[in-house]
Formats: sequence, structure tokens, C-alpha cells
Amino acid sequence: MRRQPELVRPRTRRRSCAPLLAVFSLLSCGTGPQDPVRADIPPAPPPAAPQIALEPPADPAAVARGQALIDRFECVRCHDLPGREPAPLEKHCVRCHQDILAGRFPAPPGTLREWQGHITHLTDVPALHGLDRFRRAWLAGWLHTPHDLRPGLDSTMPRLALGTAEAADLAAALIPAAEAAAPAAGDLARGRELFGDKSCALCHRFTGAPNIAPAARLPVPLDEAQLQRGLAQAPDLRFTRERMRPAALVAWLLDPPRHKPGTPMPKIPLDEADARALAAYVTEVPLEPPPAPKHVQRLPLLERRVTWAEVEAKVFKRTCWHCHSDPDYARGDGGPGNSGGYGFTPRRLDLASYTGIASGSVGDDGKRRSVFAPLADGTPRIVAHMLARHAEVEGAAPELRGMPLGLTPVPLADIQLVDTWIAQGRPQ
Amino acid sequence: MSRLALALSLAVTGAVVSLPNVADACGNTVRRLVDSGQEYVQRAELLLAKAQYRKAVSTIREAFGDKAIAAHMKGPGAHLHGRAQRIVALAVARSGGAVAIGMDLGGAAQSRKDAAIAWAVLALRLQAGDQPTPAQTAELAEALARQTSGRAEAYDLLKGLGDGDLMPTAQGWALLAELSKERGDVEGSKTAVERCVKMRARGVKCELTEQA
Repeated sequence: MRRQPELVRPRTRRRSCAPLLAVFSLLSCGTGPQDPVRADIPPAPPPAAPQIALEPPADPAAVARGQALIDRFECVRCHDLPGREPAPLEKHCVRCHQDILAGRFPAPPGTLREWQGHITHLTDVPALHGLDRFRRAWLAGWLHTPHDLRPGLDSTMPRLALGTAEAADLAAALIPAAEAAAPAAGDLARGRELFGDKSCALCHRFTGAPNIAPAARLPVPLDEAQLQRGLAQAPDLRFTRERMRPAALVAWLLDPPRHKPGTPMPKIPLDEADARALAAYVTEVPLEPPPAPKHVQRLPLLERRVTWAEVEAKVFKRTCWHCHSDPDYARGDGGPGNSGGYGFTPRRLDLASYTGIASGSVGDDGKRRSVFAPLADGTPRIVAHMLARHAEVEGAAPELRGMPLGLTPVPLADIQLVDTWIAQGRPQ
Repeated sequence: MSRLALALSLAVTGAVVSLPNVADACGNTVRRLVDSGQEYVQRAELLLAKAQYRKAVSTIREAFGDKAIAAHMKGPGAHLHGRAQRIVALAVARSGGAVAIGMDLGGAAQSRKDAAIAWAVLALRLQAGDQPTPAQTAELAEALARQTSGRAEAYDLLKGLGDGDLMPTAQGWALLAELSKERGDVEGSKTAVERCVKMRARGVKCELTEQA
């Protein structure tokens, strides 16, 4: 770690020494330890190279495979991607929700009002522009096992049906460029000061870092819409040290909209030394270890009677049926959980009706299976999926994919209702 | 006459039910915008669930006329047409063919009842296709069980659903209980009755009579 502020020289001085150092390094090349060393040479600046080797350009074959995977996983149903047409409105999860909330969606006013009261998820999502600022290896790992990166958003990147190789190919397609050489180290103490002065914590959470309150005045004026988007999209800075390429981080801090037009992150007045200092603080300040994952507890069955009406209202018709419904009875294609989508095979699962849920889903072998069938530990499959979402939020990657996919977990008390309802013979 | 009517009804390639498209939201949403055809079908489904078969059929006929009896159709409106036809077929099956559905199918005369049930079996079989859902399978079994020649197949279909814990309705369990008992499978019948009772479905008689 570069935590030696006393070695950090002012930028101008380091620049003036650089040609001299280059000359001496050339002179000393291959001449052995007896080479003369001038005693008046100042100590070398701290190493500029990052801890991790610079990432080379992505393998073109991996990029090509990744481009195909972008189609397969239907990334454009949520994200804007350069060079790709967005999904049509009826398939675009985020734009559809945004249009409904803004009253632009073509539906009667009464229906719009009803929907507006329901929509909390997938109302904002980052556009996939300027991704070269991220580490490809980090993106591959995150795509494979996503975690909550943006605490202000209700939904997270869903855990798609992809392996590590596919995740690496996707990351190659999204970040094909090589990483630029790392900049000289910044002044961590100055960075800490700037973190407060520039009000970074107004939008960003920085889990595990010392608490630094934002300044009373914002460094730049923000309109309400930009502030709200910033609050929603701002990533937790805890992950920046693994997530961002050091040179790109400095460049980003200097002028975010230049790298990603439309970003809610404003251009904050900083010179390069300040940007390096801020980057140093964000990437090097010691962090408290993350909280230990909590064990997800399946609650005991209830003594009282639970009816279909109750579980339908509290669980299945609250979220589930949006993706799992019968195309004969719902709008559209029945959703990705029924007809397939986002890289998932059609499971033909309908959670919009009693008959539908009792009809089960199509397994990997193409045969129908009961969603109530107990797994090895006795937990009904559908309950296990809902519990798995809690485990995912706690940082685990359980074998069963957590449901609802990428959304807030169903409260444990509501899962308990479903569990009890199943145990009671699924009464109507 | 009823045979002729049946043949005619099966031969009819249903004209596309040109109902206005509903506005789509999100590719798939929690409740569709209601158009008039949709309203009729929803109302009829509720009536069917309440065992009000005549009213269910007349509601469908109000919107679709004889098109509801027309053969399997494709294209826009197919989903709604399929739902309408399913309602009529189930009303026929559950009433034992006593409900007149048009085109001389169903009614008091035994020949009309038989013709209506034959139509219902065929309509539900066509809807089920090669990969029926458990709901479609159970509904087909209901209609098949109304034919003497169809009871063995009905039993096989329902037994498969029961064994896989995929029985979608209490009616399905009740019918499986009846068919199991008929075949001398007392234990199987008892289990099916228990599962039916647990579902606590309104209006479904799970306990078997002595004659069953």
C-alpha cells in the first residue's frame, strides 16, 4: 500500500526529476551493481504501478463471444449500450417503469395511477458507457456473483445463468481496451480533506471508511433531478479499489461527464494533484472489514391457518407474477420466468393463479416438476428460492438462484406464510 | 342432427376474433387493461368457478357467438379465444353436457349431451397440444371422464399429475378419487380425497358417495 505521505513530492518537482531519472535508468541498464550512483539524486517517488498488473487489451475472440452474450442475456432490456438499439418499450424494464412514473406510458389515467403506486423497482439503472474505467477482472467476477453496488437503488444486477468463462467474455466485450499506466500516487491526507470539502458523502456511501460528513456547501450547483439520480446511482466507494483502474479513476474524478455523458456525477473543480489525492483516499484509506454475513433463518411454520388469498396478496401478486405469469391471461409473453428471457430458458412457471402455481415449472430435463417438492433439507423448492435471495444479499452465492431476481428479498415473515400454506396442503 | 352440428362446429376454422389489442406494459404486467372481450371472458371465468355454467356460456356467447365453438385458431386474439373456448368446454364437462352451447350442442336430450361432451373433449385436447400444462391436462381429464370410453385415459392423466404433485385443482383430486375407487384403488382414492379436502376449494365435493 502506498501509505507514505512523506515520500510524496509536489507534482511539479516530480515532473522535473523524471527526465533525469529516465536518463540514469538507461545508463544503469545491465551494468551491474557497481554502477556509479549519484549521491545527490533525490529518493525515487513511490512506485506508480498499481498492486495489480495492468490489464492488456481483451482477446478479440473473447470480445466476439461477449458480444453474442450481450444479445443472449438481453442486456439492452435494462441498460443503454453504445452501438446497440435499446429494447422496445414493452420489453424495456427500466424505461417502461420510468414512462409509467412520468405518466408517459400509453395507458388510461386510472391504470397509470394504479401502476405508479406499485412501482418501486427498476426505476433507474446505469448506462453502460465509458466502461473502460473499470477493471475487466472485477467486472467478470461481479457479473458472475453480483452484489449490491449501489445502495440507493432498490434493485441490483441479477445473478444471470452464466459461468465464469461467460462472465469473462462479457467483461471482455464491455471493456475491450487495455488499461492505461497508473498515475503517480496522490496525497492521502489531502484526499481525506477533499473528500469532506467536495461533499462526496452526500451521494456516496463508503462502507467501512471513517465517517466524513459532507461540507455545508456543495462544490457545484446540482439541480434536484441530478441530485436524485446521483443519490440513486452513486456506488458504494468501498468497492472502488477493486473496481476502477487507477489512471481512469483520476481521469474520471477530473471530468466525469467527459467519460460518461449524462452521468449524474458532476464535474467538480479539482486539479490533477487533487484528483490523485482523492483517488488515493478512496482506494487506500484502511477500511473496516465488512460485516459478517448473517445466517438466513427459515422461520418456523405458523400455527394459524393460511389461505391462498393471503399468500397471493402478500407474495405472489406483489412481485412474482410480473415475471411468472400465463401469457394467455397476462399481457405480453408471460414474462421471462415463463417464456424465457435474460438468458434463462422458458420455465413455464405461472405464479399469477392458484392453478398456475400448482402446475409447477419445467425443469432442466424438460419435464414438469412441482415447485412445492421438498429439497434435501425438506425446504419446498419455491421457499428455498426465496430464502436464497436473502443469502445472496448477505453475500453468498447459493446453488439455487435467489428470487425475486435482483430485487429486494421477500420478507422472511412472508416466506413463512408461503411455507405454512404449503405445509397446510395449499388451501384455497 | 347433433352429429352434423358437431361436424360443422369442428370444421369451422374460426374467424379471427378481432378484439382490440390491449396496451402492453413492460412486456408482462400484473393486470391487463380491460377491453370488452376481456371483460366478458373474465366474468365468464368467475361464473364457471361458481358452477354457474349456463350463465358462463351465455356470457361467452354474448361476446363470441358461435366463434367460441369454432376450431382451434391462430393469430391475434387466439389467447382470448382459447380462454373463451375453454370456459365453454368446461361448462359442458361439468354440467354433463346439459348446457346448450349453440350449434345444437348440449341440452336436455342425451344425444345432444353426448355431442357436446365429444366437442368439449376435442376442443380441450386441441388446446392442450403436445405439451399440455397440468391445468390443461386436468381439464381434459374432466371432460374425458364424462365419456365411458374416456375414463381410463382420464385416470391415467390425473394419476400422473397426482404422483408428480402437480394437481392444479381440487376438482382434479376429487375426480381422481372417484376414478381410483372405480378401479379398486382404495388407498389411492383415500389419498386423493385427503388432498382435495386440504385444498378447501369452495363448491368442490371431495367426499365420495357410496355409488361412486
